Amino acid sequence: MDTEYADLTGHHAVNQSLAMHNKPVLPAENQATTDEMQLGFRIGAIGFLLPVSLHCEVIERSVINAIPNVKPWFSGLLNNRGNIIPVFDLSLLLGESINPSQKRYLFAIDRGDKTIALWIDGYPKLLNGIGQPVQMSPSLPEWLQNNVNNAYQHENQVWLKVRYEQLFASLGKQVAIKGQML
Amino acid sequence: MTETSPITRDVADEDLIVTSTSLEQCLEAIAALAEHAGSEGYYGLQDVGLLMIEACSQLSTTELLSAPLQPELARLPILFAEYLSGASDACLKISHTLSLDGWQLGLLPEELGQLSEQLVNESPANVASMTDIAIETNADIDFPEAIEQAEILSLGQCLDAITVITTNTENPYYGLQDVASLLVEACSPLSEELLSAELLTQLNCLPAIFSDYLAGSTEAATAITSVLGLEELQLGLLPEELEQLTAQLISEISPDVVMIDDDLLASADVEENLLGDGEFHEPELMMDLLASADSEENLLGDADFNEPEFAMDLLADDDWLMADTSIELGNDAAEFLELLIMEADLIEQRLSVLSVEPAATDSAGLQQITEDLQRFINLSQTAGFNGLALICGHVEANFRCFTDSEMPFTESHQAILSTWIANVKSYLDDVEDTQASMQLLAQLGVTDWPLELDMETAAAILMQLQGADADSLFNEAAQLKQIAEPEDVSLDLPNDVNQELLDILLQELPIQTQQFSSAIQNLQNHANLADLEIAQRVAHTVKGAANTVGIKGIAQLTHYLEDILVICSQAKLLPTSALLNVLIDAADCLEAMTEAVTAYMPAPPDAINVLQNVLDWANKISSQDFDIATICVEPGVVVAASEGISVASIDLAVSSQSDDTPEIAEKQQANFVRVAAEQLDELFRAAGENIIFNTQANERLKRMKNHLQAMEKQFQLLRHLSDELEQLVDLKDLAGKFLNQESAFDTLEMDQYSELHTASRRMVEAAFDARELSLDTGRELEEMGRLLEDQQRLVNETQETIMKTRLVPVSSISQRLQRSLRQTSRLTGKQCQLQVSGEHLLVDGDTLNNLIDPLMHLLRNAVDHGIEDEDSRIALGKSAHGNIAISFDRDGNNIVVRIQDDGKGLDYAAIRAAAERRGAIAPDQQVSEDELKRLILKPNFSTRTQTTQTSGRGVGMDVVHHQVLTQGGTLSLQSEYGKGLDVAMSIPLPLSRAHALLTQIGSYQVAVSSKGIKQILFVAADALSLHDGRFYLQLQDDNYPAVYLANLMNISVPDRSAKKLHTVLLVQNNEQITAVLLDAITDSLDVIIKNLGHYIKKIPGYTGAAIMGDGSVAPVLDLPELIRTADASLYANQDLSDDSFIASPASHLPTVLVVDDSLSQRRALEQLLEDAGFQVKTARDGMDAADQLVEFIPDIVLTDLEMPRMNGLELATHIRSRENIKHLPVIMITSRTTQAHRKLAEEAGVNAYLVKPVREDDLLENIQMALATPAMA
Repeated sequence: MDTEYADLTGHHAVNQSLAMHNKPVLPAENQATTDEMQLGFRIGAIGFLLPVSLHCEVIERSVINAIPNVKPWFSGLLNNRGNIIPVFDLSLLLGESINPSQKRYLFAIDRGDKTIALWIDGYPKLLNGIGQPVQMSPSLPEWLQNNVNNAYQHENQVWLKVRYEQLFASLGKQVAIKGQML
Repeated sequence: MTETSPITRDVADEDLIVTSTSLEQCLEAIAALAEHAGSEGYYGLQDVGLLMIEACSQLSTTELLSAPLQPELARLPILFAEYLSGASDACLKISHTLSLDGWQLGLLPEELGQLSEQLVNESPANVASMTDIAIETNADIDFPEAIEQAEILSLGQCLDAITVITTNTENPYYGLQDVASLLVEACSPLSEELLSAELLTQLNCLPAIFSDYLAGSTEAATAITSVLGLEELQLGLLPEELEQLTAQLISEISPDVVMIDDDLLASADVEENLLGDGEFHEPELMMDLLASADSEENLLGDADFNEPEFAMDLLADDDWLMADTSIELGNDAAEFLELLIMEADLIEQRLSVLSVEPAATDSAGLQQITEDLQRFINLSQTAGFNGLALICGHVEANFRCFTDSEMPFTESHQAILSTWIANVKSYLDDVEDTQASMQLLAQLGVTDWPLELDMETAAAILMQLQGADADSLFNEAAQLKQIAEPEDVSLDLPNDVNQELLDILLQELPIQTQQFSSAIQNLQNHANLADLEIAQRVAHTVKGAANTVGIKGIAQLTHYLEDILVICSQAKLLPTSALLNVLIDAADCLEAMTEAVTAYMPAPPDAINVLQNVLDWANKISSQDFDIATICVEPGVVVAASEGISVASIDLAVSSQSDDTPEIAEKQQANFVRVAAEQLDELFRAAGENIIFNTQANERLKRMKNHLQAMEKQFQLLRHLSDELEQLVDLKDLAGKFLNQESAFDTLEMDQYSELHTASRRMVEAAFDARELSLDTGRELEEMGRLLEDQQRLVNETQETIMKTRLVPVSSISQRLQRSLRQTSRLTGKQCQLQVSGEHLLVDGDTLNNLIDPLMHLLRNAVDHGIEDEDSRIALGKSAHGNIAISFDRDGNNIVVRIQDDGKGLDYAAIRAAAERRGAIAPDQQVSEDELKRLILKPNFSTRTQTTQTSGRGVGMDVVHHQVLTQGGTLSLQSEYGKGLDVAMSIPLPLSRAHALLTQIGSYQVAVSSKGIKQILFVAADALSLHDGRFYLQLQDDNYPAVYLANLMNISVPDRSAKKLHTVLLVQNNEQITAVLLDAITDSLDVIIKNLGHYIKKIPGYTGAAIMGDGSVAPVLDLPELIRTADASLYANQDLSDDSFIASPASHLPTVLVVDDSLSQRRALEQLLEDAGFQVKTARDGMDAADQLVEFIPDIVLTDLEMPRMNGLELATHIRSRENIKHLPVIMITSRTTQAHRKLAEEAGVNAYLVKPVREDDLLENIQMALATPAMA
């Protein structure tokens, strides 16, 4: 099944060392200093930033209902107070090896039918004064690179500011597996 | 009474004799009034009268006629009359007159003061009001005697009396009416104070003279005309005109009177028929007088006009008259305006002198202003200022609060009225100034007015002010409009649009435009005057509404339409085909405009052409020498369609419906509430959630019942065990007693209980109680189950009700279909008739919208490919025009749409040949007709070798088929060559709630929607057979292809070959039935289907997901779609996950890149081209287009010339300079008409240069030509 999402993971799986390359994430005019408070969560080695104004919640004790005939990183659907939420496992796309002993949480971002739940490592945490965006960026797979605004270095962790809507929309188009057999 | 006056004897000069006669009469009037005053006890006034007569007798005529005495003397009788009628300020005025030096009265100041005091004390204003003055109908013609007999009437009363007499006559005394009209017109600008006593006296006598005239007195006729000849009236009538009038007056009371023939009059010259016209006498007279008048005071001063509506029509509506007399009417308009301003000045003046003292209410002044206001209203109406008339009406009603009730007239009232009249004047200064008109309306809302302005009146005023009033004077310019300008079809809303009025318009407009279209179509089919009237009325209403809101495009179109319809209606004739075609086009355009306004659709691109056509007709029909009969027919004659235009009809059921459309529309209107779609969606979602919770509650209940059943078993076991225990304890007890013989009693004599015994008994009882409790719980659960059932019914009902709010009638798209048919018919030069049935059907709005595209394709295909040309049809024995019928019907949860035509049908031989050419079938292969039919549904399959403008650009059945499939529907074809084609589409209506079967595939739980499932079977394994690697299910004589659901879902499951029994679902997919094999069906239930969220638009084979009773989520499968997407032979190598899959056949359509910086223009072109079968992409300027051209290459580029960043010329140059796109045809659409621009465009490499407005057909033709010859150096 690995080959099925090779198109998304690309050839540059992110490893723990996060090699830095001379490749700016975005043109300079779009880069911004982040002094305001941010919510940070981790998936594997990568930290993701989320504006605190965006609704999000950690969902506990929920059953994920798997769906046949979709990409493995689309874990399935869960029922959160009557809302059906798709669950994405980005660590599979990032080529991360999942440590079964490490507790993972379901982290739902946004409200209503725009909600997407992600598997995250550890609880999300509030980050203050993340500072200047770094000019160098880690080597990211294309699907993520295309949807990242800025990268920041904070507490020895790379944090990415991501255009979530765009990211989820592009992932949403690719959940189905091509070609059925008869 | 004075017999003769000394002043007459001393006068030699002839002019003075005339005037002295007036003086004499004046003095006589004073004497009569003084005598009357004495008899009534107004001795002060009598003294004044006598004093004046005495003083005048002492003065010479020359002295008397010297200013300022002369006007004062002339005014005195009026002041006397005012005094007697109770005017509060008359005392002051009389005293003032007496105090003038010239009289030589010789009164001491004290005496004058006493006299003034007496006047005030005796004033009727203080004592009691005079009784109403009755009209003496038998008064003598002799003026002085008349004065003696009749009480003095005010000018207004005189005129009212005259009007009453002339209008209340049974026979039409046109001459008399003319006289009355002329009099009221002439008198209105005259102030009563300035009227000579002679004129006032003569006017006082006129009612009596009129009565004599009506009684048959020919002398009275002469007397009447002599009054008209009075110089003071300044009517300027020539002696011969007076003679003519006298002759008419006499002729009309003669027994042998002959009414003049209408036709003769109509053809006669207006001037010659000045007073003789029996039909149009009054306006014509007016026009003539107006045209020859020198000064505005002469004319139309009074608004007590007998036929204001007619005058209004004349001014505002009757184009045929308007066009012919435009110059005169232009003068009329100015005259009216000046008169209104003068009248406003008068009112302002009166207001300024009105007493606001609480103790001395100036009732006469108030009464006078009321009369002035009434006159102003009439004059406003006559001039066509209906809004102003309504405003004055409201003010007059306010004023009546002071005159009719006890309400005191205060300073604030005076202030507000003064402001109001100042506003009126400022409005009259510039009637086009909307701010001034709004100011007028706004001022009525001030709280100081005694009467509140109700919303209804305010809306009516607003409508008139914005519409009719602005038009009233200046529409003559509009009437003369020859060329339609782009702004005339603008649908832009004004910046300061009144949202409330706009909301009403948005609600009413679709209903009204549909009524209009229906009426016009009925006109064609049934040729009925009633339809003409309906169309006229609706056009009028729409015009008013559009004017009110400020949508010029709709207002202009309906304005000219109304003009045409009014003329036809007046002539009681129905339009013939040429005019009817214009009306039909206009109705189409109006509907498109309505869609543009109400549904944010693109504005109709050909609106300007349509308006131009309507304008041409309006102008043509307006010219006086135009014979309406040449373009109209008598009612009852069915109008035939002209060449190239389809005859559109709707079925009888619908037409009968349209007969009572106004009532239905009214009812619909009354019940409409505009609710945001989001709110409805939210309600719908909430209702869905309720159902889910109800299902979950039911599920819990079911589980509780199961638990209870288990408990019941346990209780039974417990009871059984406790019985056993009890027996054992008893046995043990008994055994113990045998062993223990020490007791004094025998065991039968006394029971001896041990603790064990007691415990066992208690346990038995507890077990019994527990069972009772469980039974009670069971009963409670049953009750709860019933409640949940009730709740389930209720929530289902709620959801269905909310679902119904999304339903729209099919009729809402039928006009668009008719329009498309007409357009295609025009392009192909064929005649077609479209019959739409089932229009009453209510269908989900989204489903209906999605149906439009395939329907348009099918319609165009039917006309272009199906219907033969007229000659061929006649040769084949068919009707000359093609017949196409579209029917809508409901079949279960599907809407079934059939399009039948009587054209040539499917040419199976051609299909076969095309298939062989494409290698789809071998030349010697046996292929049935059914299989050939399926072939034409394959992508990009066309039998045509040449493309045509309407439907041959690769737009084939494959596109329609795919559109139907993407909606989860099916399409079937029935055709016999030469007899026509019958296409049936069955589209499922959206179901948020569906019945589903639950099944398990491996570890996955899925719900299978019942959609497409024909049958559920359990079959033995031997019914399955394997051929060429595919399973088949043999059921009696039928052999169905079979497939495991797990295979369809790409799920690997253990080998099932050992299974002896299979669960089979027979699934209808298109025209084929497939057997789907399952492991088992675990449950069957109703589910609420939810989408998979905002970001996951579609997974092929899934309709969504549902929350099960236990809270888990199961994907809901759409088996027909799953089978289709899995059919590798149909869509080989398609990327199913990507959007292009959905659009795949459409991607074969020619693509047009529309480049325009105007959003509305882009949208208009987009809709036109999409409706015509193109795939359209848009760019907002040349730069955007250049960027897009990197990503994709269209088949043709349509560009505007002037655009920001990169203009059309630069874009064309850019295209020609790029190797990969330089061949692209470029069409420029611009409003620049000069040769210089054309030359520049040519140099830039533009293939075709079209000047806005562009006709749809021209554009399509140019595109077609450019596509046919794309190479461009």
